[in-house]
Amino acid sequence: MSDELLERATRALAAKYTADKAMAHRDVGLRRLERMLSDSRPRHRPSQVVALVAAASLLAMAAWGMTSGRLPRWFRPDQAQEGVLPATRAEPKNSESMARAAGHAIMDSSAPSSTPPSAVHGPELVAPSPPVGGPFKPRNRGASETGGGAALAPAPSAAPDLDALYREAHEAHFTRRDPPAALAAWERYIAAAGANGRMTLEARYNRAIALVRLNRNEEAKRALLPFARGEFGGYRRDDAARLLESLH
Amino acid sequence: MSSEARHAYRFMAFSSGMAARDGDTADIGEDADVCAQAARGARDAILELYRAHHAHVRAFTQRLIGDEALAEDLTHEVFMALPRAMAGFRGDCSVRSYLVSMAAKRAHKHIRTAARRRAVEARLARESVARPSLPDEKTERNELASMLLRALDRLPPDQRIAFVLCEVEERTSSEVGAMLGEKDVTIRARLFHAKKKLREYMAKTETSGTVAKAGR
Repeated sequence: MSDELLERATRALAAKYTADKAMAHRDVGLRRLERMLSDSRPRHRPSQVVALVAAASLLAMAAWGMTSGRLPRWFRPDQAQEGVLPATRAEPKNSESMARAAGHAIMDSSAPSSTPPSAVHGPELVAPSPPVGGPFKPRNRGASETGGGAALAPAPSAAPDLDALYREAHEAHFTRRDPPAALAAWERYIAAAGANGRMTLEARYNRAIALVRLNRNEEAKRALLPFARGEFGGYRRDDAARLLESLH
Repeated sequence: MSSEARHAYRFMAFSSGMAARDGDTADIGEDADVCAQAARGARDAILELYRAHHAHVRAFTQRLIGDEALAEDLTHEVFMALPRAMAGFRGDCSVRSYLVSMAAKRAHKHIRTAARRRAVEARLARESVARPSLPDEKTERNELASMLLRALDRLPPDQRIAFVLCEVEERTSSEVGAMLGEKDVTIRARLFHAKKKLREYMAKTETSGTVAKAGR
């Protein structure tokens, strides 16, 4: 009996919902589908999504690199920025931390008489203390990165004593307050330490200050500009910008 | 589409034993062209497929789910998914069968929702007093259909789909197997268990007199 009932129920279900009856709903469904198809935008494929995420990550990394000052170090080619000096590959974070760690921040409050008045009231001129024969040796990555060949890299025995050079420049600049001597000493250090010298960044900034004190404003501007543009991250950016402003 | 390709397509559909249903063979060649365009997301092609096959897909979803609104939703879902789905259409069954199989594969959620809805309605119906009277034949048919839908709600979705496709839509088990990507024997087993459970439910319902008039 239930077999027959099941069969009749099955027929009833088939008869209740037929294709002919479903046709009555076609127009409504068609309009809905048309509307949805018009509204629907092409969907992103997974590969597109991955590319978007990668691009966003890259942008975020670039932004972080710019703010932290690491981007210039990664992407700047080794080339002279001012024509006179060798290119510097900044290590602002290391340099700043070194300066803080040394605890010898020097306030250059009394500018020499030759310094322009605007520069005298400019930003603080702070420099780390010279390395005092510490356990660390100034790195010379520039030489090693160029291949490390004997022809390119200076021989260890012929390498100048960078610590001594820095100490000498520091003394001339901050202790004796002798701008010409300081300028010459900073340039010697920069030339010896190269672009990747441990203290090259500070030396470049101090060289710029020495130029300001010597009233060699055009050279000073050229030296300060990379700092003001943030090419070395936040290191001395604001100070350099204020100095540049005062030189105009 | 060339005549050879069209012939090959017809032969493929015919040899797979799925074509001769509700005019499935009609315009197969045109469908193949339209399918290729639909796979590329062409709006007009999707709408054309909708016009050609909506009624049959909709009838199937209603028979399977037993709820008009949900059946409409499922039908709509099938046609909205066409561009992606048609990319996987190899032409080894008719377009209509392929659309029906798409609906069957996407129906589980709707079946559960409809079953819950029917359970609530049945509870409310017990509390209500008066029901609109309908002509006898129509009333009997509706009651039988409703009873079967309630019985189908007790089946696992796979068995339910197999029953509706094989018994209500009168497709062969091999055809349904090909549509669902299952073996023929699997479909037959599902059908066997589905019918057994439905018979038990019917017998119980019959003895309890819920459908007293249905047997007349």
